Amino acid sequence: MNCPAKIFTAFSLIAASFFLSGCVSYQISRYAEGNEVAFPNDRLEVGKTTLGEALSLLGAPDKVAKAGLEDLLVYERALLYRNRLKVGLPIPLSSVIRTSLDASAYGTLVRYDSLALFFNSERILSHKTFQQGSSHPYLKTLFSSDQ
Amino acid sequence: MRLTSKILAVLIITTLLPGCIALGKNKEFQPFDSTKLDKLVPGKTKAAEVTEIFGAPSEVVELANGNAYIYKRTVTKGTVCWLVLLTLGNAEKQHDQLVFFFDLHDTLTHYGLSLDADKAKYELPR
Repeated sequence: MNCPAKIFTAFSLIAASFFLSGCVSYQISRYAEGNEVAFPNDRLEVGKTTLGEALSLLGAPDKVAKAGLEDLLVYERALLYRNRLKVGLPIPLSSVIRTSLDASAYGTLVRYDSLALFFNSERILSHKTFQQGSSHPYLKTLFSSDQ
Repeated sequence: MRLTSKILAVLIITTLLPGCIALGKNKEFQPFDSTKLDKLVPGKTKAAEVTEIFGAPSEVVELANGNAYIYKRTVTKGTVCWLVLLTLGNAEKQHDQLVFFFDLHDTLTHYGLSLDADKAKYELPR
């Protein structure tokens, strides 16, 4: 490539980046709250595991609540993903015409990994449930018809 | 010739990568000292003694068989990186949490401790 061609390519790239920077943008965001939730199924035995054993195995729960005559412990991790695509004119027209030529689309998905443990009045595990929301893929889950 | 190429290279880099990066940290502080857990004896220690040692709890929850006192502190670390066409953002919130369980007579029965606040990281979305 000769010198003028190089200069032309370079300035084309610079000009394109100036214009495109206001024209198309893509944003990827992630927010995670809480540590990964462990589910040692074989060590949490309904009718046997005590509250003390569960606490020494899993640590402090993220939530505690009264559930009827039982106590509920919840271990939870929330995972948010958001992708956003924005297309618009880089030239501000708002002072000339009262319209916007921007268009944007975004999708946000929050998934939860949750382990819920119910303890009876003797503080023995009466039932348990585990849901791993993070195992569901982002796009497939976002666009599925399931609520 | 070489100088022109270098100037062009600098121009291209400074134009195509005019991004910047921002790091942020939020802390919800509660000064509980988990090393003082040795002072507690389940079955003997009363709720009043727990609050004397650890201070006021962040939350008190009424349970079917007593109460739970929750001590919580959180650390959130955020990272944002702006490039020409692409913006990447990540935030992670982690907790240190201490939960005491009391029976109906306000006697400590169990406690659980999780220290995860240090696990919050500055990183880009995965």
